[in-house]
Amino acid sequence: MNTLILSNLIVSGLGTGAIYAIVALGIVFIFRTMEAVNFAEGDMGMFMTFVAFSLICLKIPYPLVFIIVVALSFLFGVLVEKGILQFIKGMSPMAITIVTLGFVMVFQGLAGFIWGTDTKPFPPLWKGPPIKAHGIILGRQDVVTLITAFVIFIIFVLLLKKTKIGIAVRAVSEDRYAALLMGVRVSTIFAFVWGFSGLLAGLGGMLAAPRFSLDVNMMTTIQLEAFTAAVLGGFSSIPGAIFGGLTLGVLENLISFYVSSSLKEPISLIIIVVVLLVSPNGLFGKKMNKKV
Amino acid sequence: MLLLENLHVSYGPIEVIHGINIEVKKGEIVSLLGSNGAGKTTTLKAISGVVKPTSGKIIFNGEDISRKEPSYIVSKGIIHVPEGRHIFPGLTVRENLLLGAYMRVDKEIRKDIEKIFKYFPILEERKNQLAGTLSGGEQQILAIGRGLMAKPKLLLLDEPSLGLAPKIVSEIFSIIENLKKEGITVLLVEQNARKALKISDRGYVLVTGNILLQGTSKELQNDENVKKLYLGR
Amino acid sequence: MKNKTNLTILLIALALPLVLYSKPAFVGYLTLAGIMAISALGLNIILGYSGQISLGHAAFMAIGAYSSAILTMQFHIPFILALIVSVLIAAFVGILVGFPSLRLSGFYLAIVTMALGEAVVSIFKNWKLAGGNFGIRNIPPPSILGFVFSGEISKYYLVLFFLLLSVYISNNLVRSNTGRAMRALRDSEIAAQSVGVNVAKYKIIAFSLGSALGGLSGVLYAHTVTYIHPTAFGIGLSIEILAIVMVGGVGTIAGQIIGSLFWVILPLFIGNVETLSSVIFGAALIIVVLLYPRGLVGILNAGALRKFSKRRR
Repeated sequence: MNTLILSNLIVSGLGTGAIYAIVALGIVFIFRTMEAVNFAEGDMGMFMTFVAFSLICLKIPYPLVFIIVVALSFLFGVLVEKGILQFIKGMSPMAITIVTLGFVMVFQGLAGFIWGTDTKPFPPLWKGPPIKAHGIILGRQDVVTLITAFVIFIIFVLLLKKTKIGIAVRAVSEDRYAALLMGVRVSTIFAFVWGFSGLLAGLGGMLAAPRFSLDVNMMTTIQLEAFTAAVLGGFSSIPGAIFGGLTLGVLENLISFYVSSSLKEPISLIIIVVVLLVSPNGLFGKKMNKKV
Repeated sequence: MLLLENLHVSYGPIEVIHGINIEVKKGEIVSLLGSNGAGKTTTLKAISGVVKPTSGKIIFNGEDISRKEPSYIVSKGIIHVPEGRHIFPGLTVRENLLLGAYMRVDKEIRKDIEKIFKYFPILEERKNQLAGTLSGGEQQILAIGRGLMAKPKLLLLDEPSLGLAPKIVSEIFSIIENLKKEGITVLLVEQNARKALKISDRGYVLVTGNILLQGTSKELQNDENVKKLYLGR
Repeated sequence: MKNKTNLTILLIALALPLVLYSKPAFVGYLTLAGIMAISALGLNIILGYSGQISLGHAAFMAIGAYSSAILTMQFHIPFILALIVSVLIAAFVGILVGFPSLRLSGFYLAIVTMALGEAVVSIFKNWKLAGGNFGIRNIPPPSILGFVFSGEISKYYLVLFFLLLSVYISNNLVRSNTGRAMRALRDSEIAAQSVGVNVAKYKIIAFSLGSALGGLSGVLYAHTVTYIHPTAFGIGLSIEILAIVMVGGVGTIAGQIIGSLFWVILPLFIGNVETLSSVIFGAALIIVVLLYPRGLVGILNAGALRKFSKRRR
């Protein structure tokens, strides 16, 4: 086995894996706090990437668009929570999950209606030939993706560990009733969680678009990979989601190089089914959800 | 300080509190006694705004708070330390205390944590430990400490001695007695009527959603019914 | 009273093509609605009666459609035999998919069924006999004992027959002990277990029956539309079937038919813009979950009830 090829495969796998990890983080963040699965996480990102596409068409420089859309993605998530989910107060997590399936239809339909169902070009954040160092070749977009992912993970962890709202988010996901008694406004926390998940979705979409090309179904596969990443990581663990995403990216790359590229998709499906059946807590999750 | 006037509370179609009147004066410890399912916890939940009363008033320092959100009620100085402690097991002891001060915006929070640590040295010893790893008694102390972090005027304590070893129960009760010296008013819900009446000024006996008896602790301690039903004599 | 309504609806369904014979395209839409209703009735057994979520129901349509297309075209097996075999294959796969439901509940089951559904699509994509990404074209129309159902109206009656059969099966299931056991485990698995309901058995039965109906729907789809390709049966269609069940009225038989009609007819009203109807249908799903958990059938029933009580006053 050639170590140089191997390290190249690992490095570029990490680039894709970082995207899975970002989307997985958004799914896990919502699941931890609301016990509901957001099946529309990927499509929130797809929608916001189309918004970015429109802004780029207006000749606004892309780095600026990137920042604007990240902020808009946060607002989008807040809007989804405040505008719709808020009315589900007291309803089961399963009802919320089914509502997110409705979001999938609405977001995909709306994006197709506004921007059409054909494929659009989407620029990378950092153009230019790949970077070579010690025989390792790394696409510039991969570099951007890895750096962005690293930065957002650090921000995320600091937010949860060091800020008042972050600690409150963790408190709500552990014991909603007790948090309420401390004066925490649970609806504000939910809106924040959806906002941040929206931000992660938008980020994931914009990082994925140059690689997978922008269309209405762009995020369907990526979201499936993100689910796999989340399942690998135990579904409620934040480091688990990051680890799961990166592992999956590398694993896919290795398998499609050394075995067969047609195995790329099935492998994640097999992982989901096997991990959930054999060890539903994943490789990272500490405990199964309180409810049986 | 706190006045419940003809308070009714229902869960769905079933009324569980049938118009009760309770008064808690500033600086008092008032016990709310009764057996399981009498409506004690529901009464506390109504005061802290977690459940909304169907009718009647809850007046705190002259203001009707019966329809307010829990966050508003916390900001007014009523803190509810729930039955079963409900500490946040995956957060550290320190983070639990920080959450107690969630509604506060002043700059004294850090100083107050140190104060709590001085008051309850066991919490300082365990400050970076996850709260879920504490023993039952330590968790109860943490729950009270977390409540104190909000600088409460009125503390609602629900079954603080439940499931604790006798030695720790005595410790918890002495903590509650000390709260009074710190100027905190306490409404105490307890199964352990004997110990509760010992430290409280007055008490109410709640039976299936109605106040059956009320009086000073001494009167209740000597009441034949109370003796028979709750003091086991 | 109820029987009378059912009879009226049946007569209307039987007579409709006679009224619409000049508009074969519209009859075609009704046929499609019938096919979707059969599939929805299948998911309704899994979701509505036994309370197990499945996000891979379209895969069973794919299994039915592909099995039947391959059997009739490659192996020249008569349609009706191919239909039976295909339905059995779907039921068998349904049993296999039912097993995860014994260990997993709620979201985990949703994710596993989604993954399994995508896995089926992925298999058909990579399978040469199934035409890979291009799928299978020119599937022959259904034929039974030499009669070829080639026209829109004959297809309509064929689908109507199988729809009535599916309704009959669902209806009998609801009234049977099996149906009662399923509803018990939907309402509370633990309670059902404690009164001696064999939870595992009924979950497996629900998945196999529901998948069989999904397969039947797929067979009819393949032979009436005559063209199938793998991506049509992906997570998107699974979500749409789930939406039909929820919007129509989860746990009811009439709801599945009303939901399917709504799904087919809605695009016609908004100029056949597929994207827009997806938005409206998705919004309908959200609104139903938020405000009308009993779906369209519940809304219609409430309306009928109000009318009825007004008349009496």
